[in-house]
Amino acid sequence: MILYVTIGRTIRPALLWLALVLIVALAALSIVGAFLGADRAGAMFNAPPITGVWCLLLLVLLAGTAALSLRRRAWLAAVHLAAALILLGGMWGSPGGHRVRWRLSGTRRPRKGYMILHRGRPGSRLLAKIVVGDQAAYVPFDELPLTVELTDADIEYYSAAGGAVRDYLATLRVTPSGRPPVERTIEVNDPLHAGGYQFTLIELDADRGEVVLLVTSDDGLAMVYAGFALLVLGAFGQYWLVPLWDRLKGGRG
Amino acid sequence: MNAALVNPVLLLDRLHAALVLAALAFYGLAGLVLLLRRRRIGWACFALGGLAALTAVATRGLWTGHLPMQNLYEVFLLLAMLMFPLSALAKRLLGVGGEALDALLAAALLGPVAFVFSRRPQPLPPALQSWLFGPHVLAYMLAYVLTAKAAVQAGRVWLAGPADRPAVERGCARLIGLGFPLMTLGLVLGAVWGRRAWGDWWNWDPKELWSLATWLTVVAYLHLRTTLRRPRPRLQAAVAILAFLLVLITLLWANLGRIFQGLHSYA
Repeated sequence: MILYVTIGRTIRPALLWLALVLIVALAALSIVGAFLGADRAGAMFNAPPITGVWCLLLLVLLAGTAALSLRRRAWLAAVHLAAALILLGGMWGSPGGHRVRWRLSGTRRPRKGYMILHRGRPGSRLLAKIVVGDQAAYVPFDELPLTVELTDADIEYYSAAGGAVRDYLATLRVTPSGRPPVERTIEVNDPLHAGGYQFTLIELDADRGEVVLLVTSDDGLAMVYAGFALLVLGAFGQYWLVPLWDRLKGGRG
Repeated sequence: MNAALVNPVLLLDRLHAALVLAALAFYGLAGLVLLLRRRRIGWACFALGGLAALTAVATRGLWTGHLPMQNLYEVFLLLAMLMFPLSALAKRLLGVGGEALDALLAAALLGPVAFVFSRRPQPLPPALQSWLFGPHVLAYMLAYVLTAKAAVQAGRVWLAGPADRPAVERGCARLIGLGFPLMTLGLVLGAVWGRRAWGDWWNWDPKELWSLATWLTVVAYLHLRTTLRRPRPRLQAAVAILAFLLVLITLLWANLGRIFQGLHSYA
């Protein structure tokens, strides 16, 4: 018991300072990333040295969760666990996470890519987008374990407002291998989930019957969303409910 | 006959413009009266300003047909509208003052709304047609107003004498604590929306990174209070002020500055 208290007294301040240093470092890196632009910032935050920082932060968050008393500081423990879940889910779904699982299991599962579909011509080819200056080109790099077909493409306009576009609509039929097809109309902000992937509408040309889809793997998403829910719950619990409860108790006393 | 009398849309527009001016006048007057320590009249003017701003937001919503949170005109109007209820809540619930500066800040926000930004409504682009639009923006705006109020308290920490500093800093901490869950909610809803609209819940977009830096700075502030063995009010206040500066960059520079082109550039 004495040893536990002594270790706690030594480790806790060190853990708190380490956490603070990591938080400040990540805030500084976020500012640097904002000046780099999305592509270069994404590459920077996925590079090996920064991956080390993410791993260290994950360990600190788990240690912090363990150090917080569940009885007295349950909401705060939830916030730390939530941040760890988001980080873990993010790592699981990251390019690095996909590469590690490919090496370990031998099964290749593409993480992200584009599809260009023409009405009535099913496809499964995944493309990489290469941007040089103002020009963008799509280069094939992988195959999806499913086929996607564009059955309809349409653009809706506002009746007033100078004919501005109100919505882009594309009807897709996705057939995962060995499973029945899924058919649905997707629009901006309303993607389709099928075969462990999300199909997001990026570009649409109704006259040519052509769409560009962004295909993203759902790997790690459930963990991230569980972390989001727990983070919001924990933050409101700790900073709204606890003071309110203390105030009510104080009022009664 | 005056065209505004026969055209309901034009009538709504004129009414909206008049309400913005009324809110600006009441807020400005409230700030000055509260500075002169005439509390009752000051709060009455503040409330009238809040009511006029609320009605201006409502008429804008009726006129445009969507939640008025699309561009800086609507966001500034919303921020000014939120100032009165949040200032009253902070005073009553947290015992934190600063209402004179709140009223003047609301008037300052309405200045560009009345005289600089274009009032012309724009149709809502497909990217903003989501159930997440309202909750995401509203959560952030509430958090931003509370961070602004916290920064004012933090400024007072630097001006206060050593004996008063801890008490003023506690007020700042209460405001940060009230705003942090809302900022977290805004960030999380933005990530969920990003996944639905752009395919990924995190896209390393400049505005996302500025908002992450802001959130992390608030987290650092909260951690600092636990980490320090004895309170360092001026250091803590400096971090709160930094958080507000990052809010300003996230809200304004990340949208207006040409160097931060990204997914949020339409806003």
